[in-house]
Amino acid sequence: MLRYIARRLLLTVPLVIGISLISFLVIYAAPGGPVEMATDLNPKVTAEARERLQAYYGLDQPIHVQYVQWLGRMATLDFGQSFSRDGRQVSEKIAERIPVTLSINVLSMFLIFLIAVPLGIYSAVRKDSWFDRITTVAVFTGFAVPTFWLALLLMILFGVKLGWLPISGLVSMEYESFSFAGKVWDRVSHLILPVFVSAFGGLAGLSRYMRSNMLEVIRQDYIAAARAKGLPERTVVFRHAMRNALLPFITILGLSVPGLLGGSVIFESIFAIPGLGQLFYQGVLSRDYPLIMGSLVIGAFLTLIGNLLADVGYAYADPRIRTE
Amino acid sequence: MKIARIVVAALAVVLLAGCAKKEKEAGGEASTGAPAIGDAIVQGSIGDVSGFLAAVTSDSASHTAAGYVFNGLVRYDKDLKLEGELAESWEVSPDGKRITFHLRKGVMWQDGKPFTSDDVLFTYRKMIDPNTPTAYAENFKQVTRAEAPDPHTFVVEYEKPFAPALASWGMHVLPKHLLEEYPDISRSPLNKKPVGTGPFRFLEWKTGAKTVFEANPDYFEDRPYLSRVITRVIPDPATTFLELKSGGIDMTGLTPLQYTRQTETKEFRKSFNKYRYLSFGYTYLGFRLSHPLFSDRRVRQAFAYAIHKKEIIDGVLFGLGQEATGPYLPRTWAYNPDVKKYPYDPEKAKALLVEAGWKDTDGDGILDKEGRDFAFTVLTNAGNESRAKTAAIIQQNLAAVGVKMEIRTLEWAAFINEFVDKRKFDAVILGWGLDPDPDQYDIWSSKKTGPKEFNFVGFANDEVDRLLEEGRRTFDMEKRKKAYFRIQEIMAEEQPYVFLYYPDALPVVHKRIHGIEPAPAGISYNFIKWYVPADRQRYTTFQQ
Amino acid sequence: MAAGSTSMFRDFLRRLLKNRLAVAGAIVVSLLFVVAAHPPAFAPHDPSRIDVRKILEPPSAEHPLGTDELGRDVLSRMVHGARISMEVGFVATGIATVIGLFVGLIAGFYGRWVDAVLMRFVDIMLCFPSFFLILAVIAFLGPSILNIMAIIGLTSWMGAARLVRAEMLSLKERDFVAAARAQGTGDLRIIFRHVLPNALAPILVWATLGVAGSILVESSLSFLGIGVQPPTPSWGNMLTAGKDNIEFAWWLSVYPGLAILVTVLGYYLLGEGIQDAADPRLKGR
Repeated sequence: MLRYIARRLLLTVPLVIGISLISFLVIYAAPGGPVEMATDLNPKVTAEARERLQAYYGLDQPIHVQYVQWLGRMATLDFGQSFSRDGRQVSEKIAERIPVTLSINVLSMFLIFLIAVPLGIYSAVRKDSWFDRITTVAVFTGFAVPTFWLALLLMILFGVKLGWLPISGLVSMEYESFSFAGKVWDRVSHLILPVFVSAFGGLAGLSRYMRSNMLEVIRQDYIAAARAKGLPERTVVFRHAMRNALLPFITILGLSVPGLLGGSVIFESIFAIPGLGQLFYQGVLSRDYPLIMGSLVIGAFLTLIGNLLADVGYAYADPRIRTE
Repeated sequence: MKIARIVVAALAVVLLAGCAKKEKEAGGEASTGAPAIGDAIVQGSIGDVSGFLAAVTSDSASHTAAGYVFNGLVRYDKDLKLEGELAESWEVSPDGKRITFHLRKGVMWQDGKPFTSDDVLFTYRKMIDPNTPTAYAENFKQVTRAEAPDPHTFVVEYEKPFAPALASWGMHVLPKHLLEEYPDISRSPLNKKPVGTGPFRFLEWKTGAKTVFEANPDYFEDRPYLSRVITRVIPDPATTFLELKSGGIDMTGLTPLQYTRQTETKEFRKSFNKYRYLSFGYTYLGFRLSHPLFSDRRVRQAFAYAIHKKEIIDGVLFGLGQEATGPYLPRTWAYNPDVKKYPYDPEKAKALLVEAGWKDTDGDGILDKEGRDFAFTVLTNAGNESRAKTAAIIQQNLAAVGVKMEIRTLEWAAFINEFVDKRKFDAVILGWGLDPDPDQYDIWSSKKTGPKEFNFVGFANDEVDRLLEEGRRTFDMEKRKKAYFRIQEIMAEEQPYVFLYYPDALPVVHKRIHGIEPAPAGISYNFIKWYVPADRQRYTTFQQ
Repeated sequence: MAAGSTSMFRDFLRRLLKNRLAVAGAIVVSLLFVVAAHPPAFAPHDPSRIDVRKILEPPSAEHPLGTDELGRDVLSRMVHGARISMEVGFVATGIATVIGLFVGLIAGFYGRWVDAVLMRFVDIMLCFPSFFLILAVIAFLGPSILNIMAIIGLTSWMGAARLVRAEMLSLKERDFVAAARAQGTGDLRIIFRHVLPNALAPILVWATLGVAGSILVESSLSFLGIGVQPPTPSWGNMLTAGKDNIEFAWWLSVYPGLAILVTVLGYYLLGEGIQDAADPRLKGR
């Protein structure tokens, strides 16, 4: 098991290098280059300030040297200063936004898991039934519906018309004055809509995947054997089929991290949630290149970690892998 | 987004001229409450603050926030006349070259240290310091000498009389004792945790989420009634409006559509007051005057006739604005009502274009000359619904006279840096936010056409240059007025811009907040006098 | 081989047609094709005709889906928007398919270190949240329909690559490939004659789903203001205006959103149907 993890970690190294390469290419593809952008945005930039920036980015040096510098900076997560007026360190700005986005995404994944698994299983077990057909359409609707549309509709319904849930932000105005229980509920109620919207799209893909996995597994010999043994259908389904169908599902869940991160751009803007997605979007709007690059790289890292965890989880659950 | 110039930071959010339209829509609920201390006002803002030192920021969110904490020497009162803030009084020498400010006594910085003229001197030095990344140094560079002969007197001298000088001292005064060790004040901790002399003290800044200020009980005017001012960052206008209706925020600016169609219900009027007044700015279509298509004045005038301004005001502003005739606002003292006007007249436009050599020789509906079609691209900034709609209407208007216009929306920073500053555009749709002082040297002087300067259309007119100098070199109102009147006449003839409209400002405030008195300066000039009667207060528990 | 493939195809078609959901999807897709092919035939008004006296009017006889914030007919704009959405969807997916095919074929066919390198490349690309990457590149290059098509294509080819590679790998070992090789048939011919037809079905499925996904991405980008720029109509940017007026001019939000929903759903159901119909297990292999 440990060897597996070690090997897996080793495999991540080329990925990290690849990430650094691609993001390096993206930066230098920017028209005007990073220095132009920085100096143009400041009303009063002296010649020395320009030179300082040139040196910082090492633009006067050959390209492979620049790349090594970038690699070094990336390793220490130093993405320089944000071009926005506050000029803070990019890593600082991202770091304070990650917890929010991460928690919403993790909660989304839980929700997806909770719903997609049973949905997929029942659809497989009762293949082609009304249940299967209806869930198919319902779940595809979830995939097809534009998240921003859904977000707005839900906001109107639950936030304004019914008044049950808050519309935006993470906490209410009077948060500080709540009791502990009040605070907990306040946070939870603010998260309900964003998490739901975030999870909705992912449901389709994952429950369908679960379903087809289940179908495949059900056809396997050992299931027929279990049935022949006379085991009750329930046991057959739960103990044998599901376990095996679950494994790839875990990996897929890990692979859905980039999708969830991307989705966070939209709903964080709509629900005014100060997370990484909103920061990134605003960075894009204001051409804050250091911020954009930092978010990109960190998003990639998060994905990497998600995959790693998924693979490890998979290995843990599947003894065949472990004994390799 | 407008390129705004800071005049007064503290309380004037938007300024107005004369006694123009200021409707207050009253509703049902009456409140008998007397002024009481307490409660909070929650405002919504599209953008987050980027710093609290107005000198080194240029966005309105930052300036509004800074205005709660800092004061200038002077400010504009409700009728847009200059009055003293940190300066009790002042004298201008007879030759107009020296201003002596007498500063208020007993004013304290929020950390307890006394405010003195040293702080003003320090502020001046910082404004002209090359290490300070500020866009507002121009006016201060005109100063030849500045002195603080005693702790409550500040004297400035100018090489020549400089009319905008007085107003320029509305710039926030910085605390010397807290900033003197920082060569670049934008890097100082004060830019994140401001300490000023103003009516509110900084409490908290949660980046991307909110800023919180509390009343300063030792403020040299009276302590504000409202205990807290909270600004929440809500980047999305639709969400902002929803928040307003559900009580999440108390105050915001309405879009014309919201004002006319979405806030007329009894429900809404029960809880909110909406206000309307001419805001201090205008929107225009600017031409790059060196562009071959636009160097001929007849073409520009043709555009002015072809563009249906009333349609724009009806369609984009829902009638909540006025047609613009020039770069000054109606009912300000410098406004000239008798300049050449351009009522909607497509036939006249076509005639002028023909005169300028444009005919449709190939029958494709687009005018051409020497084998080239009259086609160009107009740029405007993304995220501004009004400008996008204005562009669409202009496109249709111009198509009707045979001109093909493409619209390209760009995100603000790229727009300014890549296209405007580098003069890579055919035409733009933008707006200016104006100061009450009519000196518009920076926008129209032929000396201000360099990269990054504001005369990016390249307007160069000797007479206007002379008049601009005349206007700013005297304190005599009559002389200034004559100069500015003549400038407007020339502008109307030359049409370096097609001046489109002056939009109304449309703030809405929760009904429980009393004390709002619309005036030429808008509604926020007396912000510290706003209050909520004791029986209507909503936010009553504040924890540190 | 020839006779076999037509009957295989006929079986496939029969299965597909039996699947009612897939048929529904196919109908939606074809309808959209027809409309997008010649929008003026279906649009009752000029989509860019501004009429400030008719701003935000509810659906009526003259304007069956109402008018938008500048008095333009929503139905006409939606019809023209269909064309834009389809264009973006197809071109982007086309680009992705070509790249994916290329990468997958080479990786699968040549194997060994070529495969390893290319697959690592795929993994790396998959590490980036694609929406982040798309936004970043658009931030640098500016939003234009061309850029959007290209960048969506450039960030979504990975799935196709994996699919094609998998097909390649499984088929490479088969007898008929070895036989063809022994006969001296060139590599390219083997690829085109034998491998591609077998990979066709999964790729078709993938591409169909890809179009659906591209349409969603484009509408998200347009909604955020960095996709198709107004006044060119796109379902996404119509929803931006709809968002600002959502409680009040519901038609502006509902219809374009519904259009996206139905379109994407149609493609998805069709794609799923193709997959089920082509599923080898059902052929009793």
